Amino acid sequence: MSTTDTTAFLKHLLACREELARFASRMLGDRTEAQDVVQESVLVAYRKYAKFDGGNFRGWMFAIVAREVMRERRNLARQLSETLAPSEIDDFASLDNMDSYADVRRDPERVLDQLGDPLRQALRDLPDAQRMVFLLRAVEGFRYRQIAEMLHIPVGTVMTHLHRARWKLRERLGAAAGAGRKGGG
Amino acid sequence: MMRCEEIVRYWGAYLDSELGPETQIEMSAHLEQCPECADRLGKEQQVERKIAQGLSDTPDWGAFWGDVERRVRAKGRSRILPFRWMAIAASLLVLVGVAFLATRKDPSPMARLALAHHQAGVEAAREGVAMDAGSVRALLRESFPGIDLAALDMACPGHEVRLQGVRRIEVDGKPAVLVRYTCCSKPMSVLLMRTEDAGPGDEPIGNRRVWIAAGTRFIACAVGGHDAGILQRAASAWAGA
Repeated sequence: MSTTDTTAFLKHLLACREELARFASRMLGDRTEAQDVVQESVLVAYRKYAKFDGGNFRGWMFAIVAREVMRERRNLARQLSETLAPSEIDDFASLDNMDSYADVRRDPERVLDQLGDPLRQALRDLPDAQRMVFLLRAVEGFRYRQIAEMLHIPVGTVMTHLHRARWKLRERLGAAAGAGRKGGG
Repeated sequence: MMRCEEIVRYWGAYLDSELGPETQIEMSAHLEQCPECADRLGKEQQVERKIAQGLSDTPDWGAFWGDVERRVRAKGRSRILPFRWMAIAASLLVLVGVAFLATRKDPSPMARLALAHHQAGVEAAREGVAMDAGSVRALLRESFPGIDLAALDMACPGHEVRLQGVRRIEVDGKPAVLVRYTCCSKPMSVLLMRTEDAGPGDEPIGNRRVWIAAGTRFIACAVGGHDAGILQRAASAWAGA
């Protein structure tokens, strides 16, 4: 590859590398493992850069990192392609009956400001597939279709994983807020 | 007109602005007339924003990115070797490790050193010149006279193997050869020492996979993110040789 291409590649990478690090770290938890995955992803991307169509470099890189994460987490690809039973989709309504989540919903700014660690723990507790889809959408801002293309799953499956992740996170945050309230007297 | 119970089903896509135009219009019409649902969705929007904010900090990876950039630039300068030769060279190194498994001595101190040198190997490989398979063989023969290379010629079928660098190092003052390569895009290292130069030991280390093979003459440690498949395949090939 020419020096010009290498420089262009590194310039593209510079614009999104912190987000790639964040995504890999949140997915894998372990810093060394995340760095291994990101380093390998960058080298894979560099080898394939000649085939990059000049479009969305960030999306292209995230797809490569997601693939490398899937190599590390063997059950992830299978989890991603699982579908939810329709009866599980409406679980969100049950949050209305959870007193502690009512506290979160009443004043999200105040309550969630105090729940940094429980939030990260709740994210870690999600199944890998739900965590990946949630991060790509809610934190990294990708559209459903982009996520579906990245992970080679239907848009509907992206939506069900996302729905379930959001429900579980809220459930956990509600529980943490409730525990905090009791602990605080 | 959409009912309150139906709003629950669409709230996620609504927050993400991913509803189809018709559903979007129906939902907006409902929200205009239902302050309860509008308030509930507004709060969920706040919850979602706070969650995203809470997870948006980026890790400080220190010198990591500088290392990656140097590695990319070095890769851009180095000549890519033909796959066949790299496959043979890398398979040779893997098989050296596998060949000694039968008389395993669990040389943990060396494994610990191999792990430490794995990261150092990234740097060493970066500085080193990419070598062809012939040079690797020559270096191994020179470092380990009598090593049986003929039995080790097995390609890694269906896998991409890239040799990245070979370097002579010292482990506790004893000569060793560190080889850095990737197989299936996973970074791997093999550290070779004479058996009499490496001490006995116990188990592999932490969550890093350290493959240890000890024979009567040499000990090999393989370190990397690779799964067991390649070594198992290589072991089978060796058993059949």
